[in-house]
Amino acid sequence: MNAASHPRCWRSVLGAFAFFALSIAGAHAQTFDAIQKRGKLLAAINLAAPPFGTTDSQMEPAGYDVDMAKLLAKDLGVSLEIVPVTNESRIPTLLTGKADVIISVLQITPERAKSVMFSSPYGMHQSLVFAPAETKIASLADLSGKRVGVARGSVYSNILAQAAIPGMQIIQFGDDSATLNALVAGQVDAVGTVTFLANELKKRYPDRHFEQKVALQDNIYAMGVRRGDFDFLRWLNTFIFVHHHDGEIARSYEKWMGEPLRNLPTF
Amino acid sequence: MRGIGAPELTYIVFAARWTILLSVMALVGGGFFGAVLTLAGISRSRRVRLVVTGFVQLVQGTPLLILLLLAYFGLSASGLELGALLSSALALTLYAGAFLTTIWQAAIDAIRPGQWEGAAALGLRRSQQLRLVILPQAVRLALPPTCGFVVQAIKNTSLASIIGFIELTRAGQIVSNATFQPLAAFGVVAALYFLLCLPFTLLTEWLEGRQTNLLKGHAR
Repeated sequence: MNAASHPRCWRSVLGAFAFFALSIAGAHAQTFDAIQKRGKLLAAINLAAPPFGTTDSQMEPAGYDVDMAKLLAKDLGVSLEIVPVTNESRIPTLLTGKADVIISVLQITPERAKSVMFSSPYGMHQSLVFAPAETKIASLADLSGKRVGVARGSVYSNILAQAAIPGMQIIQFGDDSATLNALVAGQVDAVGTVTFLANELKKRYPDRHFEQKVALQDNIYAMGVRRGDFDFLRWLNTFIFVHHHDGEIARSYEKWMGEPLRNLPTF
Repeated sequence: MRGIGAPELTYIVFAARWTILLSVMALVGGGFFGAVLTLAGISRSRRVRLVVTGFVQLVQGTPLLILLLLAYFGLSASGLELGALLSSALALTLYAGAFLTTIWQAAIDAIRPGQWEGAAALGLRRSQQLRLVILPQAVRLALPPTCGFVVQAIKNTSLASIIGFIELTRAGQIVSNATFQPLAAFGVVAALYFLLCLPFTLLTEWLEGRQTNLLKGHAR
């Protein structure tokens, strides 16, 4: 199973499917009506991406993305079905019609906008580089010669790859849990993560003196729908506008992220 | 972040039912498919044999991961929506079918030509030669490697986690990310795979032992 160990290889395979699926994406243009008729919203969420998609103490889906999806279904007046995805399978799952919308920390990038249409953002946070206190990282340039762990397909992996620091070795792990545990085990020198997870790790290993090092570019994420789904996109933007205004989005964000939501830019 | 408690353990254990179901579907489907291909593979028509060989080579030369992606995303991109369980089962069926064909063909090939000739000399038709003389011997030869393959197939169902299907491995990933205790989460997952595979490992060993004894018996 060589392909499994080469994320790039099978990411390009997924890309090929996504491209293939684009040709039939037009057939799904009436998603908004289809949801009403079906009485069910199909939301693609990665449940192994805390605190966005995770599970509560009863192993029920929970997290910021899950809260958003629940609210979305409630406002649509339909039931919610979570389509479980991984970071890499998010877009192919949407494009092949297995889900109506991606609500899974989908960072807004021009590249992705070639295959999905983004709603207005519903969240934004600073990604940060996190490492033990004794590791000297004062600026991004200090990451040169360091092994930096990131979750495959995550925003940190994109942001760090874009930063293109010479000599930095990006090591991709399957998910956040594996990435942070690699830091604890000393397999990497630093990791890219979010404030929430960084604080949790500090709490769990107080004697390791982990600290935030450098703040990376803001990660702004939005819901994604198929190209041409303008009705549904308009509805999503209205939904985000309304709940931004009534504070629902900010409340849920603070509950899961442990920090207040900053002013969100909109399209 | 919480630790791993009863709800997390229950979640993983219950996810094992999907692993079991996937394995059963793959092995039943693959077994049937493999049987058809094996029989077609000993056909006297060269063209039929070529088709079988070509198909087996194609499937064996394709990583199971790609077969899974093709079945899940490729089929729905071409308009056929099967869902995560059925498309994973389809990919695993093709995979199991191709490998079982190789195992079973080898078992039939291992029967000395004299057995066919002897059966023909008794006036048996080709189908009777196969059913009454060749297969009873070949099945005995094929059993241990077939059981060994069952173990492979059970473990390979874990690849369905790639498309997000929540079977044993994906359940472990979800618990690992909720608790940040991958060692404990995947420890439980590994133990469950071990328990699922153990009967077949033991069966393989027993069958192999029996076969060795039988062969020794023949030598005497």
